[in-house]
Amino acid sequence: MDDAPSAVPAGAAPASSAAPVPPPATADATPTPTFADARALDLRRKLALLTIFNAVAAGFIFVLLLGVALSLMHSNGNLALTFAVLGVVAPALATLGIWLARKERATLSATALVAAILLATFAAQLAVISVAGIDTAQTLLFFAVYPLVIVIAGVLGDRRFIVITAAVALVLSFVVALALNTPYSGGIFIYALLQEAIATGVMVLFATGYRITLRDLAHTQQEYDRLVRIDGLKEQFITSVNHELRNPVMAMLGYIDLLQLPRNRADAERLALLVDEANRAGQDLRALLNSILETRRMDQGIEDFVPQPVNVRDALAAAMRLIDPREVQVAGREVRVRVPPNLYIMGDPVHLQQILTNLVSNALKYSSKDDPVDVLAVRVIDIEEQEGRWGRKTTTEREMIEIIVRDYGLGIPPADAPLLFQRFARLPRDLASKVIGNGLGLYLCRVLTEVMDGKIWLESTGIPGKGTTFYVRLPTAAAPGTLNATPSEESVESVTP
Amino acid sequence: MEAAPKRHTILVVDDNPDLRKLMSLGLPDLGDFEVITAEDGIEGLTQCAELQPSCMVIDVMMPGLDGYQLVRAIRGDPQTAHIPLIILTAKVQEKDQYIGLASGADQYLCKPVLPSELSRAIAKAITIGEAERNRKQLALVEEPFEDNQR
Repeated sequence: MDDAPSAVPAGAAPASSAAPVPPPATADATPTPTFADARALDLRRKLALLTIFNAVAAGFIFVLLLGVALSLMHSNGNLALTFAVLGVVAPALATLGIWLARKERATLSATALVAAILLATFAAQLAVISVAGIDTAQTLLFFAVYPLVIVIAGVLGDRRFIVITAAVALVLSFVVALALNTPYSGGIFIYALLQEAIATGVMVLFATGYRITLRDLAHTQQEYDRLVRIDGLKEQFITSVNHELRNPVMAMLGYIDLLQLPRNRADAERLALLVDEANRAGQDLRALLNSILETRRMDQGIEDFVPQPVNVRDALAAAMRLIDPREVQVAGREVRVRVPPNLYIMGDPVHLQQILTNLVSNALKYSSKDDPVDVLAVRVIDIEEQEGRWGRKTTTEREMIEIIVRDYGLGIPPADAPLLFQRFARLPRDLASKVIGNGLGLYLCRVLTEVMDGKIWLESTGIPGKGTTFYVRLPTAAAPGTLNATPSEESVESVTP
Repeated sequence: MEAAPKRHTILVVDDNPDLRKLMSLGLPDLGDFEVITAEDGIEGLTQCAELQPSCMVIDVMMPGLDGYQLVRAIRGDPQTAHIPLIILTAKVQEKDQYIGLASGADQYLCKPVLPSELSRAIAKAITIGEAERNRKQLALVEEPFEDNQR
């Protein structure tokens, strides 16, 4: 007995499979470093440096100042005590810095480090002045520490941190210069000032360049992520098309296969039935091809748009006009719109229209004629929680526009809800019903929303009559030409198209 | 073996109504098959336990219980473990084929498959399944005999 040609019998070598194998999905490609990774790496580098710097500073200050204290013990007891206290307090600060670095508090750790060095330097300078009177050489030597601290601040912190450190160093240098109380005090201060100014300038330039590099990296990363996402969606599309085409093709070929049986050709009634079924399968195939071409066309355009402010109310009005009357009986249906006139999203007007057309048309399609459909839009603060590299939770807040489309129809079983945003996903009960649909509408809504950096989800209990609520969140934009001066005034109106 | 062939009950589990219709219409033309259909994995499992079909044709991507899970469930139940199972799916990747066969299916067919091809595959699966069962029964009969000899 010879086996079916396109069948893969158990145990056969995979190469004998006659079915074409689609390209593998991109989902499990090798992980690529992201900008978040770059920033995390930057933070990790800083934390490592902070730990080392704090440890070195703590050790160095401890040994140096306690050494000085010991040498002064017999000559000047008070001064020795001062140095001893300093030799404990400043290293303690640096040790606190190590602990803070371990707790990933980079800025606080850097502050502790800088404070420890400045405190030790400043106090040592004052102490030396009070003991030795005017010892310009030693004091000048100590002044070299201030630019060093500024350099450390530049390596570990941002521009603000550098400037604050420099300002503190400058004030301390000034106090030391005053305390020296010599005719050269002015000159010494200018010497210190010059040193610190140069260090500050260099480090601010460095930090600025670094910041620009990181920002460029972020842009590149975002662009890369977007392209990867689109690529993944395309891949997914090809895979699902491959799947979806197989059923109608199998049905059509199947009926033709049955038509070849002489027994079936002899029976006129049977013949008519089979031809009819084959024809129907062919029609299904054509409809599927058409809708695939349509989504493909839409997919191709989606990545090429320049984000611009789009008025939500105008987009909704345009969307309502685009609802296909062949699919949905719009006339006589009540659509309650509650969208303030001054809400703008940042995105593409056509994309927003498509999303709204799909959602409103779905809401009308899947609810009874007597039930209304609500469309609302509000300004919300979107809080997103992300898990950082060390399990640290970070939250980002941004202002978004939330568009809500609610119907009072049959609802969607919660288990099926996430599936609906996939391509060709339709609920079993809809497949059996007469409602026209190809399972692509919500998928398109999801793609269009995600391309505009938004999100879409639905809430439904699945209880008939309670209906379904779709939420779309999109980045907000200021009204073009205005500076957001008008307070948001809500307006309620009823539209009966 | 000239005795009249036994009428075989084939249980088709597929969520696609068109394909269920095709198989209910077509398979009886191509062999002595009686076709029963189920539209998802859960229904397939209950029908399987109730009807004890001669062979099952199972789709993979279905709501609720998917094809692989269904195959495992049937194989896990001693009452139904012997039933020949054919996976018929649009999932054509090698890894899916591997998962399907590893879960316990006898054959893995990729859509589109013609009804005539499917009926041959079903007939083959039934024949192999019966031979396997006969061999096992034979072994059970022979064992006590050997014991008596000793």
